[in-house]
Amino acid sequence: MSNVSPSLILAKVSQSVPHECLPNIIIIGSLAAGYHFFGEDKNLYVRTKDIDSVLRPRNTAVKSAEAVAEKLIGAGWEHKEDGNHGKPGDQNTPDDKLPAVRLHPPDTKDWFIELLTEPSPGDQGDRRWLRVKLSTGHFGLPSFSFLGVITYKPVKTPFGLFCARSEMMALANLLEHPTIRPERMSGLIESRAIKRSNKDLGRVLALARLSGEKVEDWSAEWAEALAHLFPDRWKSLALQAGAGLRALLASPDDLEEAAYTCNNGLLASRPVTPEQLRITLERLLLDAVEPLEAQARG
Amino acid sequence: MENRPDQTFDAEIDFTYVEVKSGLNAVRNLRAGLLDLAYVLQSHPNHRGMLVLADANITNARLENEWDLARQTLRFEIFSRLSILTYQNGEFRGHPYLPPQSFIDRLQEVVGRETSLAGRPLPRPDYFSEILKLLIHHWLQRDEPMTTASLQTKIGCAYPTVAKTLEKLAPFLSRSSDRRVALKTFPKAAWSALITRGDEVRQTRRYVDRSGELRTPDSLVRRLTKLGRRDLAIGGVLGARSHFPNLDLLGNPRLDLTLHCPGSRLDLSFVARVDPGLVLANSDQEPAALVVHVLRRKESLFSAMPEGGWRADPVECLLDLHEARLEAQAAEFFSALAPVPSSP
Repeated sequence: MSNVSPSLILAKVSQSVPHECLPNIIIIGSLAAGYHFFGEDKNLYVRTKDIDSVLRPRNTAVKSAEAVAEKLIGAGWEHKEDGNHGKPGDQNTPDDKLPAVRLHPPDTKDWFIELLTEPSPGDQGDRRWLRVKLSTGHFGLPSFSFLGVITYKPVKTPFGLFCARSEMMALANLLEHPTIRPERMSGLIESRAIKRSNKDLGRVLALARLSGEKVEDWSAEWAEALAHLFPDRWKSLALQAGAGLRALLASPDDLEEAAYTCNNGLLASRPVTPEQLRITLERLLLDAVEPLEAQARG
Repeated sequence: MENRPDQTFDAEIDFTYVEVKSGLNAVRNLRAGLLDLAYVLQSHPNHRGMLVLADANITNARLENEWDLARQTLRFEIFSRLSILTYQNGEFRGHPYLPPQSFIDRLQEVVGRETSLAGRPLPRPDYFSEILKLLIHHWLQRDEPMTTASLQTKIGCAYPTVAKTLEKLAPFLSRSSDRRVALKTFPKAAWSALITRGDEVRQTRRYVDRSGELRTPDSLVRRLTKLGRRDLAIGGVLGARSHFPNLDLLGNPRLDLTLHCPGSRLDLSFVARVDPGLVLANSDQEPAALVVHVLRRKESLFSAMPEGGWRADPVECLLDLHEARLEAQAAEFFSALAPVPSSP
């Protein structure tokens, strides 16, 4: 993990990709959160290494990915080769075994841009891959079922590209983790292997804590996004949105892990104790999750 | 399982006297609980004593410390038969050990009974203070004198209690020909005594923020209003300012609430719905974010606020200002309300 300045990275990415692609790029994850909460202050940093960039719409995403990646490669950006799936695929590589497009800028290996795309409407499965053929080999453009939630009504930045809204990133993580799954992340966070669910639910709590009282508006935004994106099943999704948080509340060990990831991520400059994070969780349930559930129950 | 051995403890299970303390937030109460058990164990050499702290606001470190102090203070023969159990979120933890499951199952029943969601038992209301507050309220509002029967109804007490109180306050009262009664002058000494004993009379509870992200009183009020409760009213600075908008105070350090509780049990579970970050203060020195005062009389005298929600009557608000040590504002508020130039 590296300390990166959201505004500097956004400026660098926007200057490096084809200008015409900027309106089609939505930055999600830590960097988007950092942009919202730490503004354009170049002295404030976010701890992250991957700059997740969603290309939209899905039907032109492959073309956009090829244009973005080739321009970056031409400017000296290099594929990230370490970790799983570090080598480019070829025409024989199955779609689901393709490596993602991950590119380091020429001057540092501290961070890399990763390209993704929105899911098809109604896509409810795990990751889906679109094949991207680059001069350097075959790669995949992943999408997952709730990525469309993250990219719902993104915020335009002065750099020309968009950033996902905090409340939508939070909702997507809640929907993704109705339980605390046992799988741990392959990458360590400050020497600890953390459960993916704890990291992602911890992210929700960090976003809520940084958002303060604005969390009271989240339930209305969530309901609107769910009804728009999942008209047939939004109520059942709304009713399961709080399940992961309640599981976290019932497990002190998992809550501690979530606090640990927050303190090594978005809350690095304002660290919390597990007890303080528990309070943030309970406040989130009261201020956003319960009103959403009430709306779904009609 | 026998109940209340020696009419002192909450239960007896397998020769163990069990005392349940719920919502404990003061170390002195913990010590008192241990000492009570120790006294009885002295005359019951075959018994053990167990203090159960349910939903206590005492840290584990503090608990360990108190346990060590008890070890150093009490005779080994007594100490070795004592134990403390904490009960939090449905889980027991033992100091120094956790008893067998069969014991825990029976203990669960006792703890459930003693920490009923219906609330905790309240002491008998201080009727003298309640009647005094009501008379002062009528005096401030320039209301008509009241009959004794009306006082009984509004307070919720018997005739002898009212009569006895009126007798004590006689020098300050005027009685009309039909025996109606009203204050003719402000009873300063009784008022001062009420201020001094305010915490006890009004069962005042102070809550502090443990989230690290303190919410403003206005934010707490917004959440309180959402609860739609008619038994909770805003007092303190916000309430006083609602009665007297010119109150001279910049900012608002905390929220005071009056909880109308004419019954015999106190249920403070609403606090967690207002803000889960609030917990009972460990001492009076901690700056409170929320202070809850209990109003015991039958009629609350709450009035609706134009912006929604309820406000406590001026007398409760005045007591809140005194309790918050806002003496200048209390004097200003009183002067603005008093029917004749006067000081409390």
